[in-house]
Amino acid sequence: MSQWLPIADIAARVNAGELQAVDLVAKALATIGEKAEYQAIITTLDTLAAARAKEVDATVAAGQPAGRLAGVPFIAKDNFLVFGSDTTAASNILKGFTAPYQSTAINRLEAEGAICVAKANLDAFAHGSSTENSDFFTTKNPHDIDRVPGGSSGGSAAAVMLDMAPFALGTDTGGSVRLPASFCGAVGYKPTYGLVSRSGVVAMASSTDVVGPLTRTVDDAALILDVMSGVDVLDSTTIPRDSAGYVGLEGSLVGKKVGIIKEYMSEGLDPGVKACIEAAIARMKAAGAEVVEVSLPTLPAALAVYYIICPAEVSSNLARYDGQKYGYSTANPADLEDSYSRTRDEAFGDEAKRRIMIGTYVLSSGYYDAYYKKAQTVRTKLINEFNTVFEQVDLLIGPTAPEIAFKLGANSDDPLKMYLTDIMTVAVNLAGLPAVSIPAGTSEGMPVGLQLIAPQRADRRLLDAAQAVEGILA
Amino acid sequence: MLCKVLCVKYLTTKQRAKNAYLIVKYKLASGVKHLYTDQQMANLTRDDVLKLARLARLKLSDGEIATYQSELAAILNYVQQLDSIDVAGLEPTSQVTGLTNVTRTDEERNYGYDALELLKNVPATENDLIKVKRMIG
Repeated sequence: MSQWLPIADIAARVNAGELQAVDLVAKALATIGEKAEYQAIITTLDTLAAARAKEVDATVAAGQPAGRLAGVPFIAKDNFLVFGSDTTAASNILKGFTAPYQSTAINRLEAEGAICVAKANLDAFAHGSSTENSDFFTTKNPHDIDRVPGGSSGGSAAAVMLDMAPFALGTDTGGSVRLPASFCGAVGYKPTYGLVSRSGVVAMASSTDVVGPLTRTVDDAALILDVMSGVDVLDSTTIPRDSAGYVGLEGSLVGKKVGIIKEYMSEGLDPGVKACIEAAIARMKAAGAEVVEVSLPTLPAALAVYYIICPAEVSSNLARYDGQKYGYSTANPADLEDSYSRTRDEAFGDEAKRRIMIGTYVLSSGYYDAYYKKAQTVRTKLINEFNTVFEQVDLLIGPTAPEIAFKLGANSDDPLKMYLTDIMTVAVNLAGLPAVSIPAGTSEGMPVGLQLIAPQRADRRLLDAAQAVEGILA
Repeated sequence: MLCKVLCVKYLTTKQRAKNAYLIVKYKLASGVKHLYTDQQMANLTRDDVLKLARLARLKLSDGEIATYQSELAAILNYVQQLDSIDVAGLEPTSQVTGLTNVTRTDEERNYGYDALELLKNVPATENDLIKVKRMIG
């Protein structure tokens, strides 16, 4: 199936001298070239990656351990700063920006011998659910080139399923790791808020942004999380790792109490998706899980809460792109104000502008209490409902998305319709919970994702269960 | 209080069809039983959009102003469903993991950034300083 071994096996063989990092990097770059028509990649880092691979091979040749990810190639969403490489967030306003420092997540992966070979496409500034909002081009679904890969980490998910690398990094602000994982048939892991540092990642909505891996298996995702997670002095919202770590998973569903989210199984769900989720539930019961239906009455309002809070934070985070310090700058402005406003109009895409405008509206004098404060208070109500439900069950399950990957262009002339794609993922971000999308069969030949959700900081519990579910669905 | 009331008769046929579609799609997707009617539609005037654009430092074209006027109204209309949710006695949440006042010692640290490297990304410089248009008239 995949040309890549499990990540831990690749690293073990590199450390044993049986595989060369330079060959692995060359294989990744060759596959990227062969699959160029899917447009998953913005930039390849040929020179940087080759140099790093030589260092890894030299370390092994000198008899030194080269790390838990020795020689493992990976692809980063292009909103991660990788030292010395272009970082655009798929936006025209950052075109030509060269990262003068590097994200903590990438630093930690490199410290264990992993090698970044390319930067993946995304919806510009991670605003979207299909990668169609990229200012450059749209990534195609690996299973059907006429369909979207999901978003915003669509390039990362497609890259993994096109076998370009054993894993890719994404970011998940309202579902942007899980949704493309669901649409492309990958495993997409969204950690508890704060478990992985956001330092060196282009900010979208800071109160929900998380970094997460896209992989083919739960074990691979767990290993990458294990390497990246933990407190970072450069991100004051980071939290400590689980003392048990995230590797050596012990997947079992025996005695586990699992709650099916009633609101996510309602009549709007695509019948093919529903059938896959129900089949997965039946297998989980057979494997010893106790399955009950649970209700979170505020859940249907989560999308409305998200589309107030997210644009508010976006409008604040995108204020820094003013054409003065870095990035695109308009030619011959009349004065400073003209330089700001023309730079931003010329270089921001439609969706960035739309979110800046909504965010500015909901934060403006006279509307702040009615929109922003109200949304933050409904957010509390939602969190309380999750807390109550988690007193009764160990895990929650449901679909990751209400449908399979849609056709290119199907939602692009209607922003609100596009936002509805995230209806089953955003609540998790608002509450800071860990969640994972794992493949659970197909509908009309396209992958369907099953979403598992756990309480805050119960990432280990979630990964153990996800590995068990993956095993019974295989 | 949230917004001005926009009477149905001022909506174009296309806008009405779009609203109806969105409401049905949302009902299907969420299982919500009640939703607002056309009478409660959010309204944004052209001047409102221009004011927002000025606050956000965006010099929008006439076409963009018209587009955002209708799109923003539809999105604001959608999020107004929160009006009907009772939040009595609840406080707003802005930080989810309960961290408060995360501080560090106020000391100089070397993060290895090179000032001249950072300046390479700056659109205009003079004598290794960032050059901008005059700020004070």
